[in-house]
Amino acid sequence: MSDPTSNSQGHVLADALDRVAPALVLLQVDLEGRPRLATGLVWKAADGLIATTSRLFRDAEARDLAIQVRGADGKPRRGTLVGRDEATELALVRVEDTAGLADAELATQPLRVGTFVAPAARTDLGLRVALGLVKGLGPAWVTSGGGAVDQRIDVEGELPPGFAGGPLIDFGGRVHGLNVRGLVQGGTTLPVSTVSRVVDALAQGATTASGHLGVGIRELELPAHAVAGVTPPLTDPRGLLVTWVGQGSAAAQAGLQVGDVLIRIDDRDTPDHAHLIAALSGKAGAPVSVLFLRHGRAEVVQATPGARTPRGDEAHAGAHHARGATRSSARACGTEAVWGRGPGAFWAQVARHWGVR
Amino acid sequence: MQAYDERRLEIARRSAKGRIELAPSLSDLHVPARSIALVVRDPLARRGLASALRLEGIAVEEVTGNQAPSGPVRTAGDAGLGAEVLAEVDVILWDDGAGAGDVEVPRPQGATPWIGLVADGARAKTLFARGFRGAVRRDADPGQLASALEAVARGLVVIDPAFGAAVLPGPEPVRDETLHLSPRETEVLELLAEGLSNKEIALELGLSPHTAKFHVTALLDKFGAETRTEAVVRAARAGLLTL
Repeated sequence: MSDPTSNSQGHVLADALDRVAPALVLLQVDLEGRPRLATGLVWKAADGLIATTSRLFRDAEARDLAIQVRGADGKPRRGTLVGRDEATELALVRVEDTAGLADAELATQPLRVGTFVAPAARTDLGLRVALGLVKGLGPAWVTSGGGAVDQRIDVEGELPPGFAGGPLIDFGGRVHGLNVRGLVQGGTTLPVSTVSRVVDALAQGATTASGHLGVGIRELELPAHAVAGVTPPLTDPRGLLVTWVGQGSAAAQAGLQVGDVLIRIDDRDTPDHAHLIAALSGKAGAPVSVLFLRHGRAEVVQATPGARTPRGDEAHAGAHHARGATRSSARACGTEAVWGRGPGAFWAQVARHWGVR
Repeated sequence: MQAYDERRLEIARRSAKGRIELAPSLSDLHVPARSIALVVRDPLARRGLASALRLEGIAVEEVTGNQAPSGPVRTAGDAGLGAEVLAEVDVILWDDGAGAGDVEVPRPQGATPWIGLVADGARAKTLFARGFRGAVRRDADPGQLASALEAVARGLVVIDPAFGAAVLPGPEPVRDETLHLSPRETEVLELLAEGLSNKEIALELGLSPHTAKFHVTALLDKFGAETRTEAVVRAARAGLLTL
């Protein structure tokens, strides 16, 4: 018979924290003489790779930054910033001295709504943990900076100070994701798959910046009939109306025109600018399929996003966007009659012309 | 201070007479109690309105004497509102009726503002032409009405948005408020969109790192963005960046 005074149940979370502790590190950078701290999680001990929050490096000039990394033994090691992806609020740090650092055990079982979880942190006052539970799970989403996150994880409670950059563990001490503060009010957890994807890209020096199509675009609400034939169906009934196409741009070469409404790039829906940026992330030089509406019908073209528009075109495009495109493109859309009346009237007319609202 | 104390006494006095239900907020210093006079022909409607407004913490002055004006109401006097009542009330609430367009509209005189409960925009327009300070839909909820009364009591004019088209001049042509960026800021924005760091931007444009950082910060401010990536998204939405 178990000893009722043993409190074995009461130590469940403490035991879990012990299991993840060798992977928890404390990072410090000194900016203008003032120290900034954050938690980090060892992502690949063999390569000395540590994942943390990009907010630690906010406003900092990356290359020559002095980063101190401390593990359980408290001994400071030098780290260098490999890269950061602000759209997902992640950063990757490398240390040469990997002694005493161990990989965290990643979870194999998925989270369920109601699973007890604990954000964990290593602070200058030692290990810290908070108790939470998964209050909801949702589908893939896009951050306000255009970062793609594979799953929405809603944990009850606000992320306490010092916990950003640290893992979300379960009572078995396994990691389900990395906690970040700025993407969602109160903090959120990025699932392991998202962290892996971004960490891999950063480690390889691949850019997470978006490939460039060369279009000026504007959000458009789409009526049900306009998107009825789209499969798989759109979850968000919005698309991006092309207001300008750069000469010689990837969009021009693919045959996209002013008045087309972009709705999907490969398998990523594009209801707004942030989603388009996420869909084109890292795609410079890589062919993508573009699903769009023209004359109310869905069509597909292949496009190869480039690096960036030639300098000086932005002002050009911006003026068009504000004025409502050039007269010739207005003629092409059948909207010449309202050209010059102001962008609101113009774009309403374009939308009507193309059979979308 | 003295005026405030008088108001508090007033609330206490009226409350003692069982005329108003004090909402907790009325005990706040900064919310003066309002009292209004109802000019409503239909007695049932008047009682219903009075109850609803009292629940909102408004003292409703029951007009002594001519409670249900039978003839046309052209002035406060016609409605039975004597000088002593007018001195006490903040607003006069006039019920324009359910849509019989031939009811004569009173012409407000004196300091006390009138607000009307009307059925449609055309009537609202008539009321304003006569000098009313407010027009609200007859089926507005009591909370809205209470807010309207407070606004009018404070000297504002209140128009129910349902009457906006009838009462206000036609809508201005849409002017796109594009954010204004200096040519240098536009250059920096383009490079920001490519994911360049401040140092790289400085190199590319031949600026000092300090100046580049200054422009980047200015851009983040202009777009109200916390991060560079967010600034890029917002700039794209504003039509200042192509994607």
